[in-house]
Parts: sequence; structure tokens; C-alpha cells
Amino acid sequence: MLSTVAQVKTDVLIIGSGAAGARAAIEAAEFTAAVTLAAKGAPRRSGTTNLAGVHYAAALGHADEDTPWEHFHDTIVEARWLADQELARVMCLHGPKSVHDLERYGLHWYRTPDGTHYKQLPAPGHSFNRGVHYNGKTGKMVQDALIDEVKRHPNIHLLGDVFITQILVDDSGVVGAVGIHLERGELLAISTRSVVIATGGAGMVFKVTDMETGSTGDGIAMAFRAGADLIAPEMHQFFPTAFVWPETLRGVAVNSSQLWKLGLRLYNANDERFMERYYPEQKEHMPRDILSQCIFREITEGRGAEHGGVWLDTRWIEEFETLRRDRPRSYIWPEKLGVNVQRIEVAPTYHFTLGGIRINTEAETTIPGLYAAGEVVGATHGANRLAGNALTECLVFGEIAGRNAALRALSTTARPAPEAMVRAECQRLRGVLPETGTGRRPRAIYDDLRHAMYHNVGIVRDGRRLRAAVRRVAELREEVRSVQLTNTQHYNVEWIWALELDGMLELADLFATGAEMRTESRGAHYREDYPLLDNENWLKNILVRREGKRHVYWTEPVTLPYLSEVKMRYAEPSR
Amino acid sequence: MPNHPVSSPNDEATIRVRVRRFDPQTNGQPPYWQDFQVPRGRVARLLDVLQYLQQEDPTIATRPHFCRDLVCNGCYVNYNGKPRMSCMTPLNARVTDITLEPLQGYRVIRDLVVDFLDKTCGNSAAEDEAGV
Repeated sequence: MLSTVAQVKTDVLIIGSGAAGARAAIEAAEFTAAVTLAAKGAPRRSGTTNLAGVHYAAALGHADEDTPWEHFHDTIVEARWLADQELARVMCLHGPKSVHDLERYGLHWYRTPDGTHYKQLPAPGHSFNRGVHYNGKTGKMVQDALIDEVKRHPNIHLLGDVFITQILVDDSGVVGAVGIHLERGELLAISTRSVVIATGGAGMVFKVTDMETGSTGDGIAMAFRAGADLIAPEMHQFFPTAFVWPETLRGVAVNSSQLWKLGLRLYNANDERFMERYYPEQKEHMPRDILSQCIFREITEGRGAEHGGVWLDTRWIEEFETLRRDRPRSYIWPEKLGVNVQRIEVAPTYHFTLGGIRINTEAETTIPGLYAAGEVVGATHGANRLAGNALTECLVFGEIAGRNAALRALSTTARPAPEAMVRAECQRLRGVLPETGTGRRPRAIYDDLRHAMYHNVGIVRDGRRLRAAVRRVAELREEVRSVQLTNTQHYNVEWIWALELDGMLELADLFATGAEMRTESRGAHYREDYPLLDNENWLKNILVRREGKRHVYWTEPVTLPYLSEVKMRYAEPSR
Repeated sequence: MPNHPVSSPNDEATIRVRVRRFDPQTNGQPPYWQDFQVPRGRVARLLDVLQYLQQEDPTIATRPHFCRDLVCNGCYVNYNGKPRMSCMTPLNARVTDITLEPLQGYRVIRDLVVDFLDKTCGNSAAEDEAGV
């Protein structure tokens, strides 16, 4: 297994071909760097960017008096003051420029009828109409425009079906990387001084998610193994409304950001419009975290419908028929699988990994030469992300990461990837992909992990279940050493699952441990045993780093350099 | 409304699925067909069949990464001879036999996995027809 090693040389290695990775590649290439853009799946046809819903949040002010500063204000307040204000500020100030970048790459955004302005849509949590869009296909159009642009650059080598497994680091920073060429079953030793991690979130660590099935957090785990700081491992956003039935659609989001504005209503099994009970004034017009918690509470307290969801009722929306015809993928297609779109049974689904790799405004991690951009990064959105801010983050920090990675590569001398480090990684991979394992198959362990995490580290948490999750993860990590794998070198799907599982187990432990540390409730993190928000003790972030075999956790107070008067926009739900 | 595609879980009926197996890197081993019986109640659309097969027989290669939501175009296969996005292909009660081959027009990596970066025919007529 993995007996041959091929050598690859590149100025900049970018891992992940979604919005952040592709944008980074374009930027690095424009600075004349030789770029290798590696994806574990098929570029353009993999990653979660394709799935991004309607909104691309950028304060262009085409619909009203919006400014980037208002965008920043909304982002910080909705983040429950836990966001890194420096990162959020850069995202909001650079957002409008990135809209124009995408247009230059060929994305023709929806415009006003006279063609002079971009159309900007409203969404919950945004004080102004901020969402530029391409109807229900915004994510797909962003992904396509970026890959089309990538292909226009001869100095970007686009490499599909390559699973990068390790960043090689010495005292001077990044010195290379190792990956597996999945088709040939061969090891790649990559010599490079600059690596951008843009591998996205870790939704697959939880059983129910609307993410693409490759979102297993590989990059976060890889950065952690290399010794980089991670931030906010406890923060995970759930999207309030996703199909619970039929089974094949479970977890797929019902894109509803606009429906809120148009008058969507939620009912429990007793036909009660339950949001009136929690928020008599705002009712359903609440941010994602609070809606998710209220819906989850209805379900767990026995007021859920047939398949364990609540009813999303669209019959009150006058314009629904127009919207339905306009968005066949969301509202006509599910009818073919038996869904009644007038009344859809929904429950929250894992949507966005708020925590991740710690970066500064230059997209630098704590390791020289290692950059990160997009969802793989933590703290940009604090404890709750606004609709449309994910794509903006990808484009803005992708550009910054690509530029800085190129500048470093062009001003340092590349050396071959150190042989001893490549050998050590080869040794580690033999443990992850054992040749003679007799235990369970990787998929079975994978499913067990996702089940344990969804039920114990999901929307509603408590100390007892979090500790149980940590124990369960440790058991599974023990079990995975003797995992049984198919014996083929060529595109072995069980290898992919085993490699993903290795990182997921690493992350699951951090997620649960971080959640146990935060003894309050804030945004996406809700503790039944600590149901109240605690600004006195918890206006701070949890960080974790690996030192040798030890995991070192610490906290750092949130700095408030721009907005300093901490005020909450919503009262917490009456418990 | 079209026919309700989801059978009851108690339904013991199965769908016969023929899969074209081939590893171009294994010299001398020609392509061959393998048959599977897939329980009706477990599959509502073609994507469910691919996942079921992959779990039942992990030696099969299918792409494990897909969006499930009709956008990524990563789950394309040839279904009864025609290119189909498998997440957009409901299986109604009349479907009893399925033939699966790798998507035409691209180089085959193994079994149902093709290299989407390596088109073997000049245009993507196969996908144009399917409306990609």
C-alpha cells in the first residue's frame, strides 16, 4: 500500500476548490506564482459552495442607504459579540469589491429592471437589503464563475481526486505537504513554502446536515495536527428548516430566508403557531440560532409532527406561487418525492462550522507559510452567522490568502519536501489505512460517530451528554485502528472514508470538549444546564492547540476595538 | 402529481441493478457486469441506489461526495444508457431493472467514477442532452 512516492513542486499549494480556494488560486496566479489547486473530489462538482443559497451579503447600497459599516454592525451584533471584529470588519469592507470581482469572472448578478443596479434582497438579521443574488443558484454560479476563471490561468494546475493528508512544518514554517493520488493509489510528496487551507466546514461530523458529503473538516484537523491554533471549537450553526421526510431528503435545507419576510408561519403538531409563544412580537422573524432552538424545543417536548419535525406553512404567503415557479429546485422538485410544499415538515439541520482555524486579517495562521480562508476559519461570525456572509467571507479572505501565499512563495527558496517528514507521514497513513484490519468497516464507525455527535453535541447540550460524547469518541478512536478496508489501490472509496474519519474523530473530541468548557448559552451554543447568556464571564473565545500529544485549551477575551458597547438585540427565549 | 415513488418499508420487492465494473489500471481484466438486488423500500431516487451499492459492496467505486440537492452535477451516471443526474432521478414503482454505467464522454477512473476534468469527446454532448 502506498509504496510509490511521486514528487510534486509548486510555489503555492491550495487545498480545496470551493469559493475560497478557487479565489485564492486566481489571486496567487495573478501574482505569477505557480499554483497547485488540489481537491479531494471533482473540482466544480464538489464542495459546499454549490449549495450556498440565495444571498451574497455585500453592502453595495444599491437598494437603500446601506454601508459596509452597517453590515459590520449587524454582523457583530448577530454574532452575539463573539466575532473577531478585525476579521468581520475586513469581510464587510471588502465585500462589495468581491461582488465586482465575480462579475468580472463572468457572474451576471440579478439587476434592477433598468440594468443600472444590482438587485439586493432582505434577509433576517440584516438591517438593510444586502443580498446580491442569482436567484436559487447563487452558490452554483459563484462556483462556476470561479472555476471558469481558474481555467483561464495557465499557471494554475487543477488537480482533482487528490486527498492532502498532512502539512509538513519545521521551525521555519511550512516546508511541504503530503497527499494521496486517489486514482493511482500513490503518495505525493509536495515541495512548497506556502499552503492555503480552504477545505470548508465539518458538517458531516453530525448526522443531519445540509452540507455536501465531503464536508468532513479535513483541513481543520490537518491544521491542528500541524500545530496551528483553532478557535471556537464549540460553535456550530444549525439551519432552522430542513426536510425531515422523505428519508432521501432528510437534512436538505428548505431555503427560507426570503420566506420569513414574505410571511411564512411555523406550526407544531397541535396546530399552534408556537413562535408566538416565544416571541409574541417578532414571531418567525428571528435569526437562525433562536429559531433552531425553538423548533428543537417543540420537537423534544413532544409537540413534533409525524416524522419528528414541525410544519412550515407557506399558504399564508401571497406571492408563494410566483416564488414556487421561480425556484423549481426548492419547491417543485420535492413534490416528485411526495412532499406537499404548502405544508412541509421541517427540523433544524447542521449548516455551518462557526469555529475553525485561527487567522489574522492577513489570512495567516499561527504557522508561517500556512494560510486559511473560508468556512475552515473560526471566529469571523462568532456565535451566529448571518445569511449571505459565508460566500462573502470565502471571496474576501480567499483573495487575501492567495496574495500573501504567493508573496511568501516568491520571496523564499523552495526546497524538496524533507524526506524524513514524508516517511513519517507515510508511517502514520499505514496506521490510518491498515492493511490487515479485522474490525468494523469505516462507514459503520463513521455513522456511529455522526449519530453520537448529533444527539450529544447538537442544538441543545448539557454537561452529562457532552462528557458522554467525549468518551464515545475515544472508544471509536480506539476501534478505528483495526478498521477493515477493501484491498485496492485504485480509487478506493473506503480509503477516503477512513481518511475522513481520522480527521472527524480528532475534531469531534475538540468540539465536545470545547462545548463542555463554555458554561453559558450564546447564539448557536445552547446549554440546558447553563441556559443564560453570561457576558461577565464568557465574552471570550475558547482556543486549542496541539503540543506533542497534548491538547492545550485556553480562553482569550474578545477584543472590542470598533464596537465596544455590548448590547443584545434579542431577549433570550423565555425558558 | 406523479406516482408516489416511495414504497412502504415492508415492501419486499427488489430492483435488479446491473453495474458495469472496470478498472483500466488492471491490465488484462476486461469490463464485466455485476448484478445486485436492491430493496425497493430503501431507495426513492437513483442516488439512493448508488449509496446502497457502495455500502453493500465497498469494492465498487462511486463518487462519495455529492450535494443531494440538484446543483453539483457530481452524481451523474449513465442510467439505462442515458446520462442522468442521479439525485434528480426518482424511481417510481414501475422501475424493476436498472443498468448503471459510468457517465459517457469522460475518461473512466474505475467502475462508475469518471474524471470530470478529462473529457474524451470534444463537446459534452452527453450532458447537453441531459440539460446540464
